[in-house]
Amino acid sequence: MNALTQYIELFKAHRSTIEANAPAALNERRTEALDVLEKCGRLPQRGDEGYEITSLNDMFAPDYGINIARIKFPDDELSTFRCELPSVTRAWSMLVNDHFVAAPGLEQSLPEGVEVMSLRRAAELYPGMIYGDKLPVDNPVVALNTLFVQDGVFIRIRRGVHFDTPIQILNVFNSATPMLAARRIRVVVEEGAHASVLICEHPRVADVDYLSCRVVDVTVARDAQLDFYDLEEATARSRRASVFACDQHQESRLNMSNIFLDGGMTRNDYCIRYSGDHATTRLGGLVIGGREQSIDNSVDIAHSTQHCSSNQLFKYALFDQSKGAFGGMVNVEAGARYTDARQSNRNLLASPEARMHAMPQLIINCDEVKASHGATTGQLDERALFYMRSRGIPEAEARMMLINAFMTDVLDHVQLEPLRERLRHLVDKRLRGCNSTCNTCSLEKLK
Amino acid sequence: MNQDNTRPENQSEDIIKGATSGEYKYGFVSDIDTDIIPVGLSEDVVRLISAKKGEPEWLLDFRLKAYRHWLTLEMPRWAHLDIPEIDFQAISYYAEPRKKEGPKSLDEVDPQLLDTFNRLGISLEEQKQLSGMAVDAVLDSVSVHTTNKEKLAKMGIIFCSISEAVKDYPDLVRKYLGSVVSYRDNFFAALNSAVFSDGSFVYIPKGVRCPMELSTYFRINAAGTGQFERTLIVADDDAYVSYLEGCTAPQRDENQLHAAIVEIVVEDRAEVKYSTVQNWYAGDAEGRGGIFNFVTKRGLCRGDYSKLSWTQVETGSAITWKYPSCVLKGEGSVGEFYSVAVTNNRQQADTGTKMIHIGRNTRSTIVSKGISAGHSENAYRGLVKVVPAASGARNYTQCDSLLLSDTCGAHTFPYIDVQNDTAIVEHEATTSKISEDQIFYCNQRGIPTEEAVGLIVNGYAKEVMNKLPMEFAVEAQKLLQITLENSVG
Repeated sequence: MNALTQYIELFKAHRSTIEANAPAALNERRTEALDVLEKCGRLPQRGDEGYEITSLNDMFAPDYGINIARIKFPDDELSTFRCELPSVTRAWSMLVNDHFVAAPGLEQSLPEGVEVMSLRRAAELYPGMIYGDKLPVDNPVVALNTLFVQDGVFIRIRRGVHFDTPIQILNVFNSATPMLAARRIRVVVEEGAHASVLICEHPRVADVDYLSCRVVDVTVARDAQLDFYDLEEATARSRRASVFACDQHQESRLNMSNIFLDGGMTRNDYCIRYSGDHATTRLGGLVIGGREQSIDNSVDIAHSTQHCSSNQLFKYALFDQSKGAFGGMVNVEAGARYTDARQSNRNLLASPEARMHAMPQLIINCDEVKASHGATTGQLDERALFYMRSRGIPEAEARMMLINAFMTDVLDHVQLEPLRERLRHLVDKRLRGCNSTCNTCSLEKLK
Repeated sequence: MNQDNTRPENQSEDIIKGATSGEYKYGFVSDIDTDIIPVGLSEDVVRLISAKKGEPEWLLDFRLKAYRHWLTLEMPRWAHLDIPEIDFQAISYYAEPRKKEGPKSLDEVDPQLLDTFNRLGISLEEQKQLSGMAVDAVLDSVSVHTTNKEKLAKMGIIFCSISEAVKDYPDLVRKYLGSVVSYRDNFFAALNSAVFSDGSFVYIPKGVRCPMELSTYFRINAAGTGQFERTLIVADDDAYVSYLEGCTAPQRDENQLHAAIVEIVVEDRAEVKYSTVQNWYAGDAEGRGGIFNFVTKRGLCRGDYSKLSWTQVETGSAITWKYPSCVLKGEGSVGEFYSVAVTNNRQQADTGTKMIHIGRNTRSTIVSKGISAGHSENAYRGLVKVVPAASGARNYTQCDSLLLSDTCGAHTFPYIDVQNDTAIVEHEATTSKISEDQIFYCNQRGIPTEEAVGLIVNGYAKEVMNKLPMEFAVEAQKLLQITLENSVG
């Protein structure tokens, strides 16, 4: 079945409703997105290059509802919802499905020059800023998102402003029926500014199918820095197709970490582009997969400017029947001299049925470069386990310690200490099988 | 510093440019009377080839099935290659050096043919008498001569052209032909299965250790023809054989097609070592002419504790599309792949290997060294797959790329698919140019830049060169020098 047709038909039939409930700036690009999708003909399927374990076609195939008429949900989220990352920040807001909900007193907690608002409002205030220059418009997920997006979050850090407190966005899902949310998060860090953003994903209901079609569109201007943390803690029935696109200007720094603790099926695309020299990119990924989860990270970095460096570190620990995939494409274009591109993918298969697919790729068209990649897939070192057990550490505990140690360098990328400690705690909790959404997981066996 | 010398960086640029101007010394055409069938491909052509070779019915069936399947396929486009449209109807699928009744001894062979091989540096006569190597030479489509056959026959070793094997050992050929590379495998495998003309057949019986290196030389000579040879090697239990393959072609303006299949079956505790020095004509500096080398090579380690080792030095061909693979089915079987691929001028190469781990405790090693210069594109593409049953599988992959110009490309596309939790799979790759520190160090010790580049490139490729049998190592070293001529000196 071709899942794409149903979305194209849906869009064509309800275009007027969608557009009537969205600001003009968001409606502008729908025609272009429609063209892209009609040209695609179908969504990528398993077996297509770069889609070894994920079929976007299957992911989008179920009959999800889309709240195009923007029927309001009761506003009780704020009072009842408890995030796993409490009190990391006061500067938080929520995306309930795709509705923006500001925390009480959000504006007061933000200093001057830091703006966090709904994308709808931003589209009216700053219509010229709601799209990044390097958004990969021909990516099918971006195109689908563009077709249906009506709201999202807009974050702007004005020139020279340093804001140390992380800006947190809680993605919450709440619906009684299967639903697709087209979320868009737009982050603009202006020249010399410095900010950190933390996004986490939590469903309120565990027994409803749910698809998050998400686009994070980031611009990091000259000499600016953005630390971006993406935490996924969803349910077995949730699906996520996410594209993180970043346009980095001269001497900008991006530090991005993606932490997958729980979910159903996830596909994350990272698309990093450069508009200036001397930019630095660091991508970290940590995956703890269990049950029948499927986690697919696909990185696409195109070095087109000089003296830039990129460093990727993705680590997977896979339990049960979980499947992991990592695709890392580093493309050093002709003329991108003095590029330093590094990529590392380390995987741990902790169960006989777990499966890992790694594709670290390099395309080098320039000779003044340093490029390397490494990938390993294996299991815990038996000798290390034996060593620990011979010193009286029970096997399960020893395993836990080794997995924690294995994961630690990804967490080291997290700059903010309280957040890092909190994340360590969450990872530990997850490994012990006692996180909020998952208590039937066979990770229990480790105990 | 000598006044004539330009600045060091210019100098090294010149040297590297010099690398792109190395000429192809095997580009002569032998004027041999050749029997070429008209261009084009149809069922009739397939029947004609089969008839010309007097083949049995089952083989014709095999060819026809392959041809019909080929019609349903499209040319693969997934490789990192820019392949021009190939008109498969503009190629002649069979070219046979015309000769009187088959030569009974070397004296009866066309003297010009012998001269061809002498110029290639493999004097059949000398080889026969001195080095004790058995050579099967395939010119265009047909195997011309096999040396040392009698000596081998005494040990029960069969080494002959595949057409002879079809006549003399039909059961063996029928049993193994297409058992590793089915005609349904891919576009070029289907094409080859339909029109293959000749190639070598090797059978090493149980417990026999082949006392000499077996060697085949392939050469495309006639214009407008393709070469579609097929090699089948079977090593029975406890057998051992080392097989060498060399390829050259004359210099021509148009592109010529080479689509071969190599199948290897390795039984219990047997070992096969397959070495290739590929030096097909690569086209001129502007990328005119040259061979399209689309080859399917695969070995099946069927027996327990069997071992298959591929070593290749790829310096020629305008376009190379080649992935010698190992299917490690037997318990404890071992696969190895050592490769040096050099691309220059406008050459393109997309080459690598597949290691499919099926049996328990199977091991594989991949060492791939790419060297790109000029405007060439050089890609490594490899698959390491561990199926759920392959407990204790172990793979180590290392692929390095060396860039000698700022206009060339070096790419790496590894695919790692692990479905077993006891497997250990490692992959590492680096890309760099020759470091100025190294050149400076050599200069400092009185080694001119030119020699230093040679030294470094040779050192870089050494790990693979060491795996080649002696006779080939010398030639491979020479080839590397010719390809990067003037820089290596």
